[in-house]
Amino acid sequence: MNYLYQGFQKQQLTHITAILLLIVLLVVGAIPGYFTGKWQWQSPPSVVSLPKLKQVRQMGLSLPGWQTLSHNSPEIGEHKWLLQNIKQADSDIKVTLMLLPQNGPRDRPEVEWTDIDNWANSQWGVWQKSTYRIAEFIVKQPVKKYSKDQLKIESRFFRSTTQLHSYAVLQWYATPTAGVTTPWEWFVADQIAQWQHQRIPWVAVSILMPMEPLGEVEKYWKLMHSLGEAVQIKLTTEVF
Amino acid sequence: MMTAQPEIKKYSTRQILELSILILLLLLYTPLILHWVDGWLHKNISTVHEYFSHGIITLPFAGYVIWFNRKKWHRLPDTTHPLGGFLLLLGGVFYLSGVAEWVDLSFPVILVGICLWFKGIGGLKLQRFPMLLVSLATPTAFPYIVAPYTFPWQSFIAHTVGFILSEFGMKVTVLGIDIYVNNQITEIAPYCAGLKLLLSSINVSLILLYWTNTISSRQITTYFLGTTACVSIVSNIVRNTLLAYLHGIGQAAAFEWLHAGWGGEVYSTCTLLVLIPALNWISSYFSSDNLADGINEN
Repeated sequence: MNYLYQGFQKQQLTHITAILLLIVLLVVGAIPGYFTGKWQWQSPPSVVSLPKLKQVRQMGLSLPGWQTLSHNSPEIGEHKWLLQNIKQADSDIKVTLMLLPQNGPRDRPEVEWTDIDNWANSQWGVWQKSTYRIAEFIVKQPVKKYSKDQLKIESRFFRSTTQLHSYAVLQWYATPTAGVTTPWEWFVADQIAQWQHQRIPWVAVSILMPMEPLGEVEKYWKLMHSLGEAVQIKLTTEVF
Repeated sequence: MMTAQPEIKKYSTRQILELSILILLLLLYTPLILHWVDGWLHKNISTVHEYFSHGIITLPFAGYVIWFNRKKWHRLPDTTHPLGGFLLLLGGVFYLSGVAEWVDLSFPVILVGICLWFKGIGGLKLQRFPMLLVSLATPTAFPYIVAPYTFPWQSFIAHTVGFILSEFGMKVTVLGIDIYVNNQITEIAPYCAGLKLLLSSINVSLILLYWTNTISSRQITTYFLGTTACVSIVSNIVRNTLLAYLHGIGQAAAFEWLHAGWGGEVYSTCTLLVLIPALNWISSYFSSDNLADGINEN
């Protein structure tokens, strides 16, 4: 009898520990939801810089040393991008800057690079990519806004050829303190931030610079890289 | 006289403890699961969430199986596997994070934790089928993460659709993932790649296998799941062909109906119905086989 009683008690203990744990979850995690009708998991934390991101969507960026010639908002994939034609102030170099800023707290980067390929394909009939590489560059913050000293930007750098032109192309997802090439990297960073009730805002950036047909794309790396740096600095210091 | 009186049931301490665990779980997860179901019915959470809409069928079925197993569950010896405690704690941390993806994930983690905590490995083995269904119905970021990598597959679908339509004598050009029919472009977007249909087909197949008691046969399960995958892939290509055709001949209303309207649901349901005769055929094929084997062995 005594043995039976002890065995029963031990089993009660496993039940009671589980019940205690579930009660803690209920009190901390669910009771507030029942009282307010609002659950934290219903919507992700808000994106603080959303109003500024919307401005970029309409106006684009003004970059030092570059003049804006025109901008328009074509539908690429399922999103409205901002296409900004800019010209270097002291030369004839003209570049197309394409921007897709985050449009809401649920908006995630998805297949922007494929979307651009498709758009370019339908625009020019051909869009033949070659000499693709992941190019890394370091950006220093001019004003210290984030604790990181140096921002590491990983980008896609390649040449693409249409029937008439070749373009040097630089693409990356800009976030406040980094640049990544895949949605997956943004997703991980954003999930980590969400655990601290924060978010990682993003802007998809694609820079198209016309070059001589089938030329050596690496010749344009310096210019592309400095333009990329200017875009990232602008976004980091004034938008995010 | 005695039998006419309502029997006053006395609950044992154990029953009360078990009941409180059940009630606590219901209190913790009912709002979350209602939120999932609402998202599946009204498509108001995200495209990725819709990939798990098979949960409307599989979650109640999992509940039914757990309930059906209750006597076996009670007969199992009480043992505690330490992993159970770990999973319960882990699930608790996920739940308290408040971050949607992790709160969702906490549901299967806590359920598996409970199986291991109260009945050890045996408990998990008993409930492995409902646990599998619950895990497959739990919304995760998986479809979102694979979407950028499905391009070759989308391109394959586009070219197959182009081939089929040109066999029917239509003028078709395929560029990447764009199909041009009469100068109308139909794009095979990542979310048209058929992952949703594949997921729902696999889940329905699992239920069919369990229902017909054929899930214990490895052979039938393997062949049937393989058939299911093929059926869903072919069916998705046929649907995209119809869409490109309708778009190409300018039938905008019919296109919309099949693309985003309830036509899509009807189409998927028809695909799923095909699975029933397929399972019948496979299981009768193999059971006659097994019978022959059995005779030989004897």
